[in-house]
Amino acid sequence: MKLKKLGTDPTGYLFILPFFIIFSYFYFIPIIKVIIDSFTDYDMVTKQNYIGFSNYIELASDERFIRSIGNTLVYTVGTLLPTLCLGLLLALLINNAMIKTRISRTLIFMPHVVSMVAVSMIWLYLYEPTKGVFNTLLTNLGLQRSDWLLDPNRAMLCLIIMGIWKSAGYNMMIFLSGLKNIPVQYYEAAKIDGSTPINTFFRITLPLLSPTTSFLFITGIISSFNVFDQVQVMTDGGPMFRTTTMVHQIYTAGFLNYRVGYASAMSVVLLVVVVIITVINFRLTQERTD
Amino acid sequence: MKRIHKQWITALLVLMLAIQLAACGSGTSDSSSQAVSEPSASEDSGGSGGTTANEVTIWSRGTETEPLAGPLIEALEKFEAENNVTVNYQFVPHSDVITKYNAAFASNTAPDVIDIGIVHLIGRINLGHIVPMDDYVADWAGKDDIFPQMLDLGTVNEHVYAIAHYPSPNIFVYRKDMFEQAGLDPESPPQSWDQLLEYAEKLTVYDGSGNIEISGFVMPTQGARFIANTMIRQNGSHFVDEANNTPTMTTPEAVETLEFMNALYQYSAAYDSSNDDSNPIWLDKGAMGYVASDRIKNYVTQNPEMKEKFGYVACVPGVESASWCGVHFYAMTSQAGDPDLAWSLIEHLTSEETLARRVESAGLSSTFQSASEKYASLDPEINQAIVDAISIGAGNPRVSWAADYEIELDQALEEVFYGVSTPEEALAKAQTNLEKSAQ
Repeated sequence: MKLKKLGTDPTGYLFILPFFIIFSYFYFIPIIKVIIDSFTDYDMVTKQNYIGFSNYIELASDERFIRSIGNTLVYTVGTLLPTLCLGLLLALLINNAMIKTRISRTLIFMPHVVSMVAVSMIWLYLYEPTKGVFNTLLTNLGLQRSDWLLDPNRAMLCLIIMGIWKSAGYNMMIFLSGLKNIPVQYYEAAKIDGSTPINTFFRITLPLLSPTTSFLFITGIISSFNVFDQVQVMTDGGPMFRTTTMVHQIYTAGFLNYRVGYASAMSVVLLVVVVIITVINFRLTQERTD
Repeated sequence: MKRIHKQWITALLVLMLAIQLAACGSGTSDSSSQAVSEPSASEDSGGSGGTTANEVTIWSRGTETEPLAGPLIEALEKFEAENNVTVNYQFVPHSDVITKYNAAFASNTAPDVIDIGIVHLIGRINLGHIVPMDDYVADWAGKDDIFPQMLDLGTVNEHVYAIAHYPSPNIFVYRKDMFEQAGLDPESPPQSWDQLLEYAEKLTVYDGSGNIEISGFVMPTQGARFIANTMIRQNGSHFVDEANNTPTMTTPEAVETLEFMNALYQYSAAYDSSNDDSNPIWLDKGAMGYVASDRIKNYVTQNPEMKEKFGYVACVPGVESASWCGVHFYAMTSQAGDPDLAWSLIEHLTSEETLARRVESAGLSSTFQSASEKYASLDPEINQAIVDAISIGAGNPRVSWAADYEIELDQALEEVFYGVSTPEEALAKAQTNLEKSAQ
């Protein structure tokens, strides 16, 4: 039997093999293991027993996990769209020879490179009700103080604001790169045709930025669904589980309560949700391209 | 060059997957019940913790920069020299303790002696990770010197599994200057719950907008379970029946305790106890409250002018006196290579001489009466309150579901403080959830 040809350059497979080995060992195999563990009562210490769909059945009635799904969706919507808009706005503003300096780009991008834990600690003090910076400012302006992170109705908003501040710079840099790839001739032609700046933005800039927007949207969704550091540091999921997220619940179940099997089931649910959203986005982007 | 076939690459990946899944095996021991079990024969067999003869290993929680570390290292070096053995020690940061201990026991590389806290005591006992030391304790000179309450904390089902060596109690502090401003006697702290509430009202100061400027009593909005654990005992009851491994969250005393805490909460500005730097007492914005003893000692050391402004007592009693007291224990692991040597080390670390040295060199409180007398004499005003708090102290309930208990109690308190639920409703929900955990 003749063996199939591998294509024009079979040595390419050799070059990507190291990556695949690492990918398999650190990503693919752990994912398979988590899926398997989700059907067991694994607790890292005692014997692992197969329990079927018990974890998933319990998840369906777990109030806190259901709440965490809602909180995660709120955080995602609350952070993603403003971050995209703000990032694009900053990119448009800064895409100007006078303003587009290294200093301005560095200052706006800097929050993104600082560790989330360090940023969370700082914002914790900003939000501190008694002598925090924000309440001090409000008091000095004669306005009512807020409990911020200790206010159940406001805690999630506080996290969202911090999340937007941290991510906007990164989005700006990616959008700047996207703007650079738009041929200048389109703008010249639009100018000749008498197009207004707003018209030019909606008819030329925005459509041609759609691959960049799509990329930022997908990566933004994945990172929003993985939100954990700031929740753990700033609120620990409170007050009254109003800020707990899916990953926070996974951490609590797996590492604080030793219910690794149950936490694995939560992880599988998270994986499915993210995959569904990503596939929908890909399909929509595909349709637009077609 | 030979052709690399697609099938070989696929086969290689599948082989790696199969090997990995086979290697990711189950745990090495059988599952255990939730109730505390009687000591089994396996606990006498010793373990293969990796130590050799004349070698003993101890892991201590915390870091080398903490006050406990210096005296501990000194004591370990002395034990090494006096007994001609090698002592291996390691400090494990608190955040890594659970993971590191679990990994060590699972891989049969656990040390001979570990430092452990109340919240994980029952879990480790149930998993067979630590062993009873009854035979050693029977002949131990220190059993008459340790505070009975402290010996009880390490005793489960009448077996001594752990020796309490370092207490971390909370004490009640109040601002004498604020008492004077409110027309109260600065030398007379509240003597009952009714007085505590009355004083809290008088001491609370509001700003022009009606916000609390000075908290009459500092009650955390989040993380008030430490105070709840104290007050339920002051009210003559418990949230958990340890003997029967069941929650008792809905007793009349429990409801009364939450009602009282809610009444006190009205006189407190919001703050999260996990961020202790924001405690209004440290910010000069709190008149009374329960604080960690090591924290208040640090505070007055760094701010000596504040020391005279504070008054210190163990607690404000309800129907009983009680305080919160976290405790560090020494326990012998089931993997101890030489149990006699491991016990000798524990005995040495809790000897009168070692503890006296700990008091002298680092000013640390003790779970032993002789060392506590010495400790109290160093600074009677504050240290006597700490010693009194140790003698009436207790920590979390000793149940395997203590972690769930903490979450449910905090949740119940938050619901009451935020006005979402009545104490009865909040406690009923906690009771239901904890009954599931207890099963």
